[in-house]
Amino acid sequence: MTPFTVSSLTSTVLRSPSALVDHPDPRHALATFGPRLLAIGLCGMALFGLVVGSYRGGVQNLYAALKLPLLLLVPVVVGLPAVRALHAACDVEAPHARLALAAVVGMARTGVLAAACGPVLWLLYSIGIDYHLAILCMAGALALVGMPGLATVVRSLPAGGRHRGVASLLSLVLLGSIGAQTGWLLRPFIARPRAEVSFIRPIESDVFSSLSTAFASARGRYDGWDAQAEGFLARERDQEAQP
Amino acid sequence: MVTPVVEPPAPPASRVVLALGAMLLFALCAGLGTGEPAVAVRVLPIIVAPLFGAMLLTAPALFAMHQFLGLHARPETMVIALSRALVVGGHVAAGLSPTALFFAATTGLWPYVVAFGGALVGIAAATTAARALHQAECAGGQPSSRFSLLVSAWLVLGTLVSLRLAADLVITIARASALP
Repeated sequence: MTPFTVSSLTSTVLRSPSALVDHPDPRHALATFGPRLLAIGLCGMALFGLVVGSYRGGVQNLYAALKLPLLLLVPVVVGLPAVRALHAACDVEAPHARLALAAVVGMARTGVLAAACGPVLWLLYSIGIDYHLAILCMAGALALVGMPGLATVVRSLPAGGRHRGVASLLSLVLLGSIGAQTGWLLRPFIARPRAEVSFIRPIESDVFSSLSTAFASARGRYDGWDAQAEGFLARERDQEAQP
Repeated sequence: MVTPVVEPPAPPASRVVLALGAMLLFALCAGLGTGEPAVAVRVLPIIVAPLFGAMLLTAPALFAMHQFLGLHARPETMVIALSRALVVGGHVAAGLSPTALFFAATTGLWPYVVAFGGALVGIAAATTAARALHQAECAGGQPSSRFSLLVSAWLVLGTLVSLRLAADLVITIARASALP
């Protein structure tokens, strides 16, 4: 394979990711291109974060630029072993190196596309759209740019196997849940214009109970908004805070 | 032309032990969400005990009925099939462990994580056992409808026994930790 510069690597990631994923020696390819692909993906997401932070402006630009790459990285790191195990249980054996390479290529693809979405999002934010619409636009853009990355990972899995669809569906649910909870942990990305800016909020409740409370509120029941500290990280912080 | 069916190789004992260890690891990761070491220790066997216990308790019945019905697979190949199911279950548990740790660290959803993960591990092990037993029977000769009926009945029995064991464990944990 010819040596890749960062620009040619970015071009390959967008035009034919399979050229990288189907490398005959995935372990070598991961060692050679992995760090650069990771950097491309994270930089792309950081640029997207800068745009997202521009809705509030000031230090929120920096906060969002630091947090958005984590939104891409955490679900992959936490969920990829489960994706591999679920597919292996359905006789779809993907080598670790190949799956990790596909994940890094997928992340790079998503990151570059997210950065490309930036100007459109910035234009929308610059005309002062409503806060809730701004969140919806960000979520929509992330869903849109996440699909090609996810498709890269799915296509990297070998053909065949039994109940492959079930394993893929479960993987999607798992990655989606981890992604949603990561987003909940790292919020706020878009701060309200007059709100106090904070890097992250204390660990409290979870994204699922928050969604269920939001649905209840939409039906006219406004109780259950008192979020409680949950998870052992939050409890440890609470214990440290107490005298 | 009929291709001969090859008996599947036996997984090494170390892989079976590792699989059981992976199930313990998953329960440990999820159990950390309880926030109390004493409760986390009680949660430890929540996956391995129902699965391995149900296999130990029901496998003799499977072997006995298999021989009684005069079916083809050798008992050794059936043991190999069951050990493969344990290995696959352990593989799934190991894969789900980082996810369990993530949710235990950041949410209070650990009981749901245990239930969801346990169900996935159980389903993966049961489907693998059914497939591997079928493969073992095919290696011995043409499988009959009696074999399918036997495996289905064994799977139902195994599921009920594992649910009974899991219910006992959940009650013990709930009593000890005053959970709802």
